[in-house]
Formats: sequence, C-alpha cells, structure tokens
Amino acid sequence: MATRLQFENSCEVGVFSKLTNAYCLVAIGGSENFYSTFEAELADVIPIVKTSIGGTRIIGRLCVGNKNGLLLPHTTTDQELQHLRNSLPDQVVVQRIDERLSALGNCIACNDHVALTHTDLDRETEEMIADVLGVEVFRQTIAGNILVGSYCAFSNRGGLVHPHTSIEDLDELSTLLQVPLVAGTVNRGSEVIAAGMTVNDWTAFCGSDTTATELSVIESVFKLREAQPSAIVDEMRKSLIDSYV
Amino acid sequence: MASNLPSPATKSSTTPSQEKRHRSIFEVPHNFFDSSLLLHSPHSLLSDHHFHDSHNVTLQTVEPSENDVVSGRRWTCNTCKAQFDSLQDQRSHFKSDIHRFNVKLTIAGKKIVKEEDFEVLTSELVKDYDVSSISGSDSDDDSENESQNQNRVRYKSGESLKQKLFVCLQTGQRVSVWKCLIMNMNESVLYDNEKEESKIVERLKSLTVEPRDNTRLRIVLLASGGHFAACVFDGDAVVAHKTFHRYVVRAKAGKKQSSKDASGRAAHSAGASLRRHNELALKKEVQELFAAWRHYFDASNCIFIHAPSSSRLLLYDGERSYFTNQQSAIRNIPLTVRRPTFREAKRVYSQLTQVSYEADEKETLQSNQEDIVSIPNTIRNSSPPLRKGNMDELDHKDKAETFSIKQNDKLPISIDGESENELCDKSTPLHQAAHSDDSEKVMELLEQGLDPCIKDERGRTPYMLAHEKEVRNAFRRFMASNPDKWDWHAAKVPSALTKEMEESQAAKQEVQELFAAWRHYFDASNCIFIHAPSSSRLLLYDGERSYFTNQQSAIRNIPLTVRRPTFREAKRVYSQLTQVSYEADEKETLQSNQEDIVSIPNTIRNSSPPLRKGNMDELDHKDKAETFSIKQNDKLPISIDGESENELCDKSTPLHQAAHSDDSEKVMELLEQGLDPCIKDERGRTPYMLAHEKEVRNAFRRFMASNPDKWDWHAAKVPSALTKEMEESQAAKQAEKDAKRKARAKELKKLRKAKEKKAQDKVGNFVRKHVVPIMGKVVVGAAVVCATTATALVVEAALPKNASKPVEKQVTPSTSTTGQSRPKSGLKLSKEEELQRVLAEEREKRAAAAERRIAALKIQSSSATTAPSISEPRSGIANDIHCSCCNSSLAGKVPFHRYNYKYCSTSCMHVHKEILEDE
Repeated sequence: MATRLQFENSCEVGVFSKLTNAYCLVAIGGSENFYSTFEAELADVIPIVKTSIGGTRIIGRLCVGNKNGLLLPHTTTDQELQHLRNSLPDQVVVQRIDERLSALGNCIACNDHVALTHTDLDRETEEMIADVLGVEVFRQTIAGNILVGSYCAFSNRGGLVHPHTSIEDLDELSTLLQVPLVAGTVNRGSEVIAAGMTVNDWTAFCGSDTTATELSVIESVFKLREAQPSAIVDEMRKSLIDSYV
Repeated sequence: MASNLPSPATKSSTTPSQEKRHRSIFEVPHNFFDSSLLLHSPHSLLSDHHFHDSHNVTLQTVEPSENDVVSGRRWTCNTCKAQFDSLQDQRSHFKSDIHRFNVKLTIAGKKIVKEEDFEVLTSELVKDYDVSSISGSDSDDDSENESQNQNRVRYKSGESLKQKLFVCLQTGQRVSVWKCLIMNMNESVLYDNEKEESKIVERLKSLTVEPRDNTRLRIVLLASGGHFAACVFDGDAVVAHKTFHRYVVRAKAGKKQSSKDASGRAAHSAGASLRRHNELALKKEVQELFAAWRHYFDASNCIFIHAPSSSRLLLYDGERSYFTNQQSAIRNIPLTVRRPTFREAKRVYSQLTQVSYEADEKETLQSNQEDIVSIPNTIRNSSPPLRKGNMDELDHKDKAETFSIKQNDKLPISIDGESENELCDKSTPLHQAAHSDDSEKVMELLEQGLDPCIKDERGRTPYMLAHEKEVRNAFRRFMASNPDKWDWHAAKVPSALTKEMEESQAAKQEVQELFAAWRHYFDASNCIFIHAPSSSRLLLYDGERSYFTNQQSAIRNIPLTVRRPTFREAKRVYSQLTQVSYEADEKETLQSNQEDIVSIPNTIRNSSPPLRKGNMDELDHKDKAETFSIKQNDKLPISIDGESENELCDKSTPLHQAAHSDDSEKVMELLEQGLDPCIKDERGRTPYMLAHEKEVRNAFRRFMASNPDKWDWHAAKVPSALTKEMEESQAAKQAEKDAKRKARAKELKKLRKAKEKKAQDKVGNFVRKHVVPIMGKVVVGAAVVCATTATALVVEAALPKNASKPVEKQVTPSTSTTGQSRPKSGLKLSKEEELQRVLAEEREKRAAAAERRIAALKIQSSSATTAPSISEPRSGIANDIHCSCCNSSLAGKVPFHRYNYKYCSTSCMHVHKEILEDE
C-alpha cells in the first residue's frame, strides 16, 4: 500500500528518506510522526535507520541503494558511515564513493537489477554501482532530463517516470529495465517523482499532497495492492491448501 | 519496427532501394558497370528512378516509426536512432560510449553521431587503442563536438566534385568514383567524346574484374609531420602495412626542425638536434621500408600519396621517388588526410575505392528542403543541392554544359540569375563565395580545405574575384593561420594577415576616425606638434600625406623626449613647449647658442633649428635674454642618450639629471643658463640633493656665491656659498696641514732611525760583553739571540739599577729558549729576527711603563707621610712622564691619552698612531 505522509510540513518525502527492499533510511531530526509512519509500515520487516549524510537531512537525494548495497557520496562523514554500517544488515554493502556529483540519489535510479545513471558519472563510479549494487548500469535520460534519479522511481515491479516522457521512450525504457513503466506525477502534479515518493517492492511512501488518482496510479504500477509481504505467503497458502486437499 | 527490420543479408539484395549503400569498387559485381554512361555531373541526366538520399546510410538508421508501436518489445535507442535485434544488443548499446556521447549531444541540443563517424572521431582523438602511431605532437582534442562537426564538414567538402567521375548505371542509378582511382592527374575527361567515355567506363569495368592475386596492388603512402604510414592493399584486403613516427615537429612552434633551420637561424638546443636526428632517422627508416617492400612496389599498379610540403622529401629525392615506380601510377590523394596512421590509411583507401551512390535530382530537391531542418548550417552550405535554374536548362538541352559545381542555396546573387558564365565554368565554391563577397563562407570553405590556388577559366584565383576587403582579409587571415597549407603565391594572396596586423590596422582605423571626427579642430588649428617615431608614423601619415587636414596649420615635431603617450604626457609636453623659461644672460645665451650648434645631437638638430632660429631672432630684437626651454633640453646629452634612470625622468629637470650624473661642469653650465635649482623632482628632491660628489655640490655652492640673490638657495637646499676666498683659504689651510704633517712624519722617521742605530750599537756592545761569554757555544751569526738580547739591553739601559734584575730574568729565558731552538737556516732566521724585534720593542715599552710605575710607587711611599692627597701622585707621575712620540716632557701639561700612551699634543698622537700602524 502507498502511504501519504509529510516531513516537517514538506511533502518531498523522497528527499528525506530512502526505501529499499532491505532497509529504510530516514533523516534524523524529523518529527516522531514521520518515523512512526515508517515504523508502522516496515517494522519487523526491514530495519529503519535514522541518519544524516554529510550532516544534512536530504539523505534520499544524496545516497542510492538497493537490497544489495548502499552508495554514499564523498561528503559522508566517517561517523555516519560507521553508523550505517552498524545499523544495516550485514549483507548490505555500504560504500562511500569518490564521485564529483555528490547527489547520487539525483544521478542514479535503480532497482535490484538495473540502474539508470547520469551520463557524466565517472567510469569508476559506474563500475562501483555495478559492483556494489549488483546491477546493470545504463546511461540514459528521462524525457531529456539528465537527472534520472530525480525524475523516475522504479522498483522491481514497476516504475513511474517523468510525465513528459514520450511513449517511445517509455517503451524503450521499460524494455531496457524490464519493468512496466508509467508516466505520471506525485504530490499534486509534481514531476520530480523521486523527490515526492520513495518506493520498494511492497510499499510506497508519497508526499501528503499526492492526490487519490496519483496514488492509485502509483499503487497499480508498483503493484502494491497485492504486494504486502504476506501476499506471497497468502498465495502460497492457497496453492498449498489446494494441494493438501 | 524491431520485428521487420531487415537484416544485413537481405539488405544487399537486388531491390534498388536497398542497394544504395556505398561500397568498395572491388566489392561490386563484375557486371556493375555494364552499359553504364559517364556523366558530367551527378545530376546531368534525368531518370525516373527515385532514390533516397544516400548520405551516411548505415544499418542502424532508423526510419520514421509511427506505424509500429509494440509495447514492451522495443529494442531501440531513441537517442541514437538505432534498433537492435535483441535485448542483449540494446543493453550493450546503452552501456556503450557512443550512446553516452549521443545522449550528451542530444542534451546539448546537437545532432547525434553515427557509429561509423564515432569510430572515426575516436580514432581522431588520441586513444590508447590506436596502436599504429600515437604521439602527443599534435593532439587535436578541443571540444569533442566541434571536431565532430568539422569532421563531417571535411567529409563533405573533401568530395570536391571535380575530382570525381559520375556514372549512370544500367539500372539508372548514378554512382561516383574518385577520378584518381583510374586516371592520372593530368588526364582530363573529354565528355562529349563517346570513345573517351567508353574508355573510362572500360577502365572502371576492368577494376571490378581485377584478379586478386597480389599482382594488382595499390599502395597508400601518407607522410606528414613526422608521421609516416604505408599500407599495401590488394583490392580491399590489407597485404602489408607499416607506420613510423618520429619527433620532428617543434612543439607549439609548429613546423619541422628542418624547415625552421632553412628559415635562417638554426637553433642549437637539445630539442633541435633531437629533431634533426629524428628527421634523418625517419627518412632512413622510410627508405629502408621502401627497399624491403620493393616487391610490393613492383607488383603495384597505383600508389596513392599524401605528403604535403616538406614531407615530400621523405618520399622524393628531387623529382625521383625513393620507391620504384616503373609501371605504377603515382597519384595524389584528393581527400583531406589526417594524421598518418594505419587506420587513416585504411580510411583513405576505403574512401578512394568507394563507389558512392549519388542522389537523384528530385530527391535532392526534396532533401534540400529537408536540409533546412535537419542539416546544420555548416554542412548545408557545402552539401550539394542543385540550382534549379541550371537544372531546367539542362533538361532542355541535350548536351548539358559541364556543371561540376553545384550551386548552393546560400548564394543569393548567383541564384538570382545574374548567372555569369565566368562563374559557372570551372569555378569552385570558393570562387563563388569570393565573388559573392561572403567572407564567412570563404573562411568556412578554406577551413574545409578547398584549394584557393585553383583558377577559373579566366585564370583568376578566388582571391582575385573578391571585391570586398573583408573577403580578401578572410583569405589573408587563413593564410596567416595556415602559411604552408597552400601555395599562397599561386593563389595570388599577397600577404598574411595576422592578428597583430589586424590590431594595428584597427588602431589606425580608430585614429583615422578620430581625425575625421576632429576635422573642425584640425581646420581651426595653426600648429600641430607631432611625436610619432619610426613605424608609429604610419598611424598619422600615408606616405607623405598626413591623414589629418593640415592646410593652414604647421606640422612640427616635438623636440622633447616623449614618454608613453597619455593625456598627462600630452599636457606635459605641451606645457614644456609653451614654457617661457628664463635664461642666465644674453651674452651667455648667445655663447651657449653657439655651443649648441656643436653639441646638439643629430637627431634633434634636424628638426629643431628652424623653430629656434625664429625665436632667437625675436629674442634678439627684444633684448631680453629669453629662450625656450626647448633649447636647454637640446643640450642635454643625458636626456637624449637616455642614460639617466627612469625614476629621474619624471618631472626632473636637466639640472637634476646633471647633478645625478655627477657632472659638475654640466651643472655649472646649466646653472649659468638659468635653470632653477629650486625645482623639486617628483620625490621632492632638489638637484643639489641628488649630487653624489662633493665637486658637484661645490659647483652649486660656487654658483650660489656668485649669484647669492638669483635663487632662493634655501629652497634649493644648498647650505652655504662657496666663495673664491673661502676656497683659497681652504686650499691654503689644506696645504699647510699637509706640509706640517709631512714635516712631522720626516722628523719621526729620523728619530726612529736614530733610536734603532743606538739600539744596534748597544746590542753590539752587549753581545761582546755579556752574551758571548754566557753562551760561549752560540754562534755569533745567530741573530735572533742578538735581537732579543739587544732589545733587552736597551731596556736595561733605560732602567734604573734597581729594576734591572727582573729584566735580566726576562732575558735569560729568552736566550735559553733561542739557544735550545737553534736556528736551522739563515732565511728563516731573518724572518724570525724581524718578529722578535717587534716583540722586543713592545717589551721595551712595557718595561718603561713598569719602570714608571715603580718610580711612582717609590715617590708615593716617600711622600705618603707628608702629603697624602690624591691629586699629588698624578702630578708626580705627570712630572716624570714624557710624550710617547716626541719624548718631550709632559711636566705641567695635561697629556692626551691614547691606549697606554700619553702625548703632548694631538698631532703627536696622530703621528705616533701612524707610526704604530706602519709597524
């Protein structure tokens, strides 16, 4: 299910949080309400880590990660790095990279298998993305925007891209990424998709301005309605019961 | 789209639309040229077939795709306009460099690059994988995009249409091949002659049926800037290749070392010799290669050569080439050739052997309109859209006139049907651009590599056609930047136009504009003072005529030293010129006037006399000894020679300079001429303060003495006058002093001599009486002993008897020591003797002092009871004491003390001091 929430009266929840299938990062110093919303959704499933990156709270735009790893910009302090390493599961590789473009979240969009990147990223960074996150890296733009990380959000099940993306590009991208994509908006028409929402395979958090229509598009494209962690088990149970009977 | 994309195999099938790909002449089927016709130009014959524009058609070109929207299966790249057969291909494309590059281009709003172009591009940039020949000598990685654009432009312009043969195939398609593939340079195509035409077609046919057994080789030789590439081809296959690179081109300065040396001054730097050696080595390597490849050359039937300017020496010795070329034809490569590498050789060869499809007329017209949208300006200009008017004519005429050049749409003049025939025949785009006075276009074409030496049928080069200066300047500018690219003499371009020249011209222009604007000032002026040395004169004068109007006004040179022209300087100069400065005296002035004639340096004499004379006449009449300060300056060799330091120049007068240069005569002269010694320079120093030497200062003071009221001498910081009497008295005093001193010194010398004599005598006696008996063994010649003892004896002689004992004690050890260290040689002895004597004399003095002390003590003890005052002993001592110099008694005098010595007078002290120093 998609949840609507705010971070200190800001609807750009994707800026202040980072959600993956293996962990969730939330900005430190937010209201307890913000955390509790995440905790209500994610507690007992994945760890929720309160952190800052480079002393800032815009963690969602500065870091990029998936279930395999987490990449942090060079502005990250040693303490923050250590804190994240301690807090995240052992199988998640936490790596700080030396990339000129420090807002990795804006430059890179990824799920657990593929990543779209800014064309100006270093080759080393590209390799690092492939190694740490375990993804195939494609350099691409979203509707002519070079900041692919800002203008699209996708999980392993679906993705939402900039509303101006042409149909051809949409098809091409969805072929490339092997996930269905839809052009849309969040936060009542905001085209900065990734800033307005954060998503993983079974849940999404959107800014509180997000309209019902937007929410329904999000839920359908990310396949969130049936995608509770328990959904699989439920389906399995059905089949199991069938076989038993 | 992905599903119905034709595979490469089907593409080469027989349908005409799919055969449009450019391909090598060796690839085409044997019957390709059957019953084909030679064309004058690609569009001189009409046909009903429609072909697509064949530029850059590649496998990856994507046709417009509205009809196929297959969701989910779209193996394309919209950015690069490419389609793929599988997801794998698509994904690998999205990871590739070209995709990344294209994405960047798209974002920057530029056109994307095709894969082939990208390869060329990357090979152009120095990349690691280009193994054949890499050097940093001329890497051309400016902006990637720019080089890309140039690339395409070159590609197009290189296809100079004159260099191509156009053939209409039996299918109606038109193809073009490079002329040099089958014809020598001097061969020309006689179009109207059917025989000739068929001959050429035959030759083309023969190419297609050539056996590929290494008997019809083609060799490409590229040489430029220390790079050499040679490649042997058999058909399309590379048989052998070799590249060399040597460091021969002077970094940054450009040109080879040899060409630099040829220009006169040969450099002797390490780099220069390195480059010279490398040039020789490269030549040797190339010749060795030729020798080794002899069999290839023998088997070759065509050698393509690109060796511009001095690189030609690598391949040719005068007229004779280093390689054997009996049967083979040597042809120049009509393309733009980049740095010679193996890759470049292959590229050039593939271009040369390519059979390219030409666009059809209608197609061209269509594409013309498309061009407006799709092709960037630079390319559009050189792309070959047809002139409509010409085409119509051609339609009607059976025999079309040869239009080797396609008019391009940017030339409105010729399109408007002025249609001068002179332009059409044999004229290049450069001719047309020059004729249409489009300087930008000219520059562009020149940059694209069009030859400015080509003459039209009237024998005029493009430069000669240019009406406007700007266009001619375009040629000259290009000449400045590429002096060696073309034979500029043949192109009739008179001289290069460098940036500096342009700047100076611009300056000239500005000046002239100013003159024009100031015309009314010039008209109203009656005198114009000019300072424009050497080449600056050209700013103001055109030959003899000045740029400003000067009917009434007199033009005069400024006889002053003029510093950097500024407003301030102009004001200063003017104020100097108009200054009325006071001169010393009429007579003096006249005198100095005469002197002037002798002393004025040539440079100024030429210009100044008329002015001065006029003034002088006036002055004579007025009976006032006034002259212009100009004259004073005339007389200053310093300011003219520029010896004086710059700091002095500012606001300093000649007097300052004279004082600073310590020229007292000059100072005097200037003062006599009436220069003001009160003037301060910009540091507030008067001339007097600048004088280093006393003589100069005295000059001031002497002048002050003779003219005490002329100047405010206090302001001039001259402390006091120096009158003749003073000087005389001073001189007398000095002389007196000197005489006194001399006399005293003489006296002292006498005294000393006498003393020495005395001492010597005594020593003689002493030795005779005492020393010899004491030390019977000591040889008499042992002068050391003599000396020491002698001095001791002198002391003894001076001592009262009660003090003689300690002295004797002193003597005995010295004698004993000398006795122990017996002299070994006479020479050493004499030196030691000298030393000892000095020592002894010191000792003598000390002894004398001791004696005095003892005497004083004695007196004290005796008179202690009677007069225990403190002052008395002093006077007692004083009574006994003599002057250390002249030995006169100091009794009743207050002695002068220096160290331990006491003197009767200061002069004694001085004399004694000198004596001591002498010793």
